[in-house]
Amino acid sequence: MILWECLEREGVEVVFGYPGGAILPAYHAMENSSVRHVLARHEQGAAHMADGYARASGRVGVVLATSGPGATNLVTGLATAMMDSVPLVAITGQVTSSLLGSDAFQEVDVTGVTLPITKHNYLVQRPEQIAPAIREAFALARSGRPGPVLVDITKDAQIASTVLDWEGAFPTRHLRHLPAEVPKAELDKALDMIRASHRPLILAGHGVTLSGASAALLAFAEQAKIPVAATLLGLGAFPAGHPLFLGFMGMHGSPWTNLAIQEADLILAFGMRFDDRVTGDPATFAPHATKIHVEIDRAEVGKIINVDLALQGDLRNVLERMQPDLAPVPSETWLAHLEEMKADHGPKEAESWPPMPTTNGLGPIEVLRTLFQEAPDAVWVTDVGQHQMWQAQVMRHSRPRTLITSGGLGTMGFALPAAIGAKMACPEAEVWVVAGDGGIQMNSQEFMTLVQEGLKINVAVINNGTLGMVRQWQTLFYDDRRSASGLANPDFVLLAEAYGMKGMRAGTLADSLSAVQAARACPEPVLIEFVVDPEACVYPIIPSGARLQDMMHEPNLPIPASR
Amino acid sequence: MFRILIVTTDNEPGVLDRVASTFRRRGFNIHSLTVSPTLEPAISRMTLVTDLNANSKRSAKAFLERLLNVHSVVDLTEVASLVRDVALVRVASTTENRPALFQLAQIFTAEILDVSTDSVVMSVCAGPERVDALLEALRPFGLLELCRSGAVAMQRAQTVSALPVATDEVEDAVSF
Repeated sequence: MILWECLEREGVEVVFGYPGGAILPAYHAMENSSVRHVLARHEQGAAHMADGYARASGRVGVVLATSGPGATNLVTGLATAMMDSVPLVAITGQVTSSLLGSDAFQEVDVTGVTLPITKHNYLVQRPEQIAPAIREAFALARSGRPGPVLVDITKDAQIASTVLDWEGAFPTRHLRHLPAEVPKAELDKALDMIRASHRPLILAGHGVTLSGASAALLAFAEQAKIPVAATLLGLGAFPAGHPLFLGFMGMHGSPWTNLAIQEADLILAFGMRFDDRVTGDPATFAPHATKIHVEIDRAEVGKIINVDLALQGDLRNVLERMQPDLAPVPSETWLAHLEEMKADHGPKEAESWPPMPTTNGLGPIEVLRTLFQEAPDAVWVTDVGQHQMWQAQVMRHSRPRTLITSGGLGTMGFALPAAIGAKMACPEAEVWVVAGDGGIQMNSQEFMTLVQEGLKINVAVINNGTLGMVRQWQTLFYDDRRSASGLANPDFVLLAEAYGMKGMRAGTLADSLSAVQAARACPEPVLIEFVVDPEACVYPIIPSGARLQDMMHEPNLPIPASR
Repeated sequence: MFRILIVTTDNEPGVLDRVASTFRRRGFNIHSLTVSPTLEPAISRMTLVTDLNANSKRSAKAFLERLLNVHSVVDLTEVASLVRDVALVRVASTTENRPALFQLAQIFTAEILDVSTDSVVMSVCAGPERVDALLEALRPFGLLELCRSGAVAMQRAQTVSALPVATDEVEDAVSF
């Protein structure tokens, strides 16, 4: 079977997977391969591992699964990667080609199921189609706007022998829709617009990291003296401690960042897609701003927000070519104004925002602050919900690929398996999982994978005994009727120990600090359960569909009329 | 407003599904769709008629162009184009009104394909509006069955055509 040789030639060192009937020929052939296989405990976990591996390293993540249920278990992982533009190749076994469509044992129409959640997929029925499909899949996953690609290979195609024609499988079709370099005249238009602005603002998205444009963005912003705000997946793409860094934007963003968007006269949207969690009501988003969108995916241009100038192309290329002609904008008044707005929300020290609400017991914001203070250089892999938003507010990510989180799809259960992938990609890095008590239970079986692979990963479970973000929305928008949001939980310390990890529990700030320090010093993987206030809410919050200026800063405020 | 998109694609299994899925997931309806191989057998050509506003059309085009199998998407709505639609229609008829039907067929250059004691089947190949007009003219006789191919379309040459342009073709270009 030529699959493994194809993967080796693509530079694959590790795959994540789970064997089963229809993929067994491939597993049988794996014996002779140099590729390392990580056995997940559920195919969803394997998919998130490949995703975390790709996000941490910038390389293509690879996941293997069998037909039917194995493949359908990948669906959430593929959709997560699709939404966040993560390069992934999924290889699934399929029933023998003569049985296709017959409802054979463990048969599912996998290319049909995954059609809308992959960049492309392949049904391979003959061995000589394997190499072209794999080569094109890798090329496509990496090129343009990255994303997941699935290759479904029938069992008979895995078994039949063929001669590998690597050169004959050279891919070209992935180049079809790659944009040509942005014409110089378009760059000049953008430069003119920048020159004419007084209140410019850069919105940095995931595209900054994906195109390797962090350094180019830093040079660009510094040279033009333009402040930078970040989307959730843009965090880390620009150094958080930099004087030009404004903060996290959107639904739970900092007030001055959201207000800056509403006051700006020029928005430079770099590799971001105006998600509804960022724009609020799109009709009232950045009403005074001329808008320039630099984006590699043409389908994103004008999708939500109409822009005045679209530069379709690679962000890094665009920034590097604009820089020689970039003059400083007279932004002193604007920058001073932004500083004033910031100062309105607390003293200038970094630790004053978000304000720590009076809490009943341990405050979750304090926990996240402690974690970050102790391990500022770690790779943080978060789950989805309140803790995810608090970390985005509190942690000052300053390097690309040090925050790994499911943004677009908001996939609970993502953090633990994604952290395993991230640790495989960056064995030298300190890797932390931050998850809620709800999300950690969605893929807690992967604790065993972590232990089996001998990985040193620390896990912070922020336990408030509730699905916190659901409960927060119920409190704010659904008459505080807490339908099905309360959780009975296992003893997380015992759970960790059952898997062969070390478990700790902290209910005070002092305990939290010592637990974090002990976990970092411990050579074994450690789970710390932080028992926190169940009533804490993430503030500010912009109600869904409201204007960016309609932030709710405190509990029990009436919902703005514009909602 | 109806729009005509010409989509050229790889001629391989599953492509129609991918194209249709792009519309389905956004709740866009496909009014008609014809597919056939081109002069290059590895490439298929689709004529897709859809009811979209300008903004949805722009995004539909962009989403189609994101598909690996799609070579190009051309919007013929706002350019001079040649559009043809084939219809087979079975009309109720009696021996008494048959001459009137034949007369209509002649006016619309429709072909009589079948004549029976109580019905007539005719075919017409014309611009969609002209097909509509024929159907309206036939309606009083009693329409029994209708089958339309959906539009096929081609862009008119940029240079002035050497041939005289029939009026209905110009109307098609504007109205469709």
